[in-house]
Amino acid sequence: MTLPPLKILFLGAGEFALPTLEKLAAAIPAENLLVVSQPARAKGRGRKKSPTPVSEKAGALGLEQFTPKDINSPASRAAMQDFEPDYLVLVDFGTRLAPATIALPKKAAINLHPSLLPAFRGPAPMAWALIKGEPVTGVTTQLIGEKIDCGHILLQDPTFIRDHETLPELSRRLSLIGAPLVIDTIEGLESGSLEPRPQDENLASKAPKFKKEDGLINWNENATAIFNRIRGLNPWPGTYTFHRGKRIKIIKAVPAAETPLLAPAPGELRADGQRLLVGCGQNSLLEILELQPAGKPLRTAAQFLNGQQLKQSDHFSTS
Amino acid sequence: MSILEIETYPAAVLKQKATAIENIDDSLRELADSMLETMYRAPGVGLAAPQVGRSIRLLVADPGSREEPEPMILVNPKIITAEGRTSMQEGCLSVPGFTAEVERYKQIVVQAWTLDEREVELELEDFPAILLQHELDHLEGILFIDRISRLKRNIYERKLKKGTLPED
Repeated sequence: MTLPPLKILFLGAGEFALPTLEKLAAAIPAENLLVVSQPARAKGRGRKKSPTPVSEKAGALGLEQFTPKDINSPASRAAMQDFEPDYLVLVDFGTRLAPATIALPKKAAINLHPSLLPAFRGPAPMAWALIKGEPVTGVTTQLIGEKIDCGHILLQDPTFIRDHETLPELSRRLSLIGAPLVIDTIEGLESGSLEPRPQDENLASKAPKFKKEDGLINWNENATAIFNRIRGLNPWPGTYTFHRGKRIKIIKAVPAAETPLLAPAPGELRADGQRLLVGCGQNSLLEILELQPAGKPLRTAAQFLNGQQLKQSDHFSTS
Repeated sequence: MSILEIETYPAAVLKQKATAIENIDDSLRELADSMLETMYRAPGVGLAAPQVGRSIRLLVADPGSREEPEPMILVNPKIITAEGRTSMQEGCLSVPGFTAEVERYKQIVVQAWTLDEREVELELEDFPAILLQHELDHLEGILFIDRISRLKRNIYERKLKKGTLPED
């Protein structure tokens, strides 16, 4: 006799959850995987209702799915209880689970978190790792507890952050590293070789959600810090500044290779052929690559420079 | 010890009633060891001799966990009492890629011989009881798919014909 394959309740919504869902779908029979996602929501200009990326993928893979309005309602819980899951796996789901929901699976409720816990607990760990200029980040599987991202650590996989890596690039890469880690975690728990260990509270840090205002660039910071903010906050909430009183989004930039003897003052613009340079704090320079004036299409630096006569007094400012 | 080849449905040996063992000797001990190794490697939790092509009344099983294995080897086992009902999702190394809920007795007492020629009586409940009923069935030429509804069995037969069962 063989034991039946494990039953897994998978809770996910965003793109980050897709590689894990695919790995699980390849590892166990379809009838042993129940996908739970958020209901289709109106989004975009047309406000058309669209399913979550996880919901779409589950459909493509022919998996059974459940998209309740309230995951923690007694009715939702009863539906998930009927499935008799061995494990609950939560990745990029976006809603907090009630203790009774966490207690649903027979064996364990686990989460894949895109940081090396206890660093960067909270909803925006990858953006914070980029903004803080961390050299290394990674993924962690943890037991889900009542306090968000404070559960016992199961497995971790660290990785170097690449030089010019942006948030979407880092997110994609960590999602791919995380998927096999989830499989290893379940196998480790099954074989009893995995010992959950508590997080060290002394090393904990937070990664709270961002607000639109967090995207306002302070040109007094040095070019590296501004660059980190730009790559950490795009595409959402985005980084911006003001030029001639009008709001302008800064989409892509790099610290300039040159270190001028005397850089322009913070916020001051300088054209160097087709290049657009901005003075930053500590005598540093940032090269703007892509930007988007309010209500206009995205432009490269060259297109921006061609579109207007840059004056000596032209500068980016905070209002 | 060696890894043995596992017979799969619809092999004839799986449909046959196995014969009683008369001598417990070294060749039987070696077969039992190889069956255990084959079972762990598969991985499975139980294996009966007909599943490795030997139509004799020998089975191996392990209702324990990977950290705390509880291997057992039984010669000429038989159920002497049985009561209650229970069920769980079962799978079988001879019926790859398919599982189904099977109804079984909840508690059984099994009488058998061990390899050191002792007679034992085992009182079993829940999972270990289900496991031994599944393996004892093999000695009677019965597979778990013989104990499920016609409809579910048809699903399996169709998948088998179409070759859409998952590869291990």
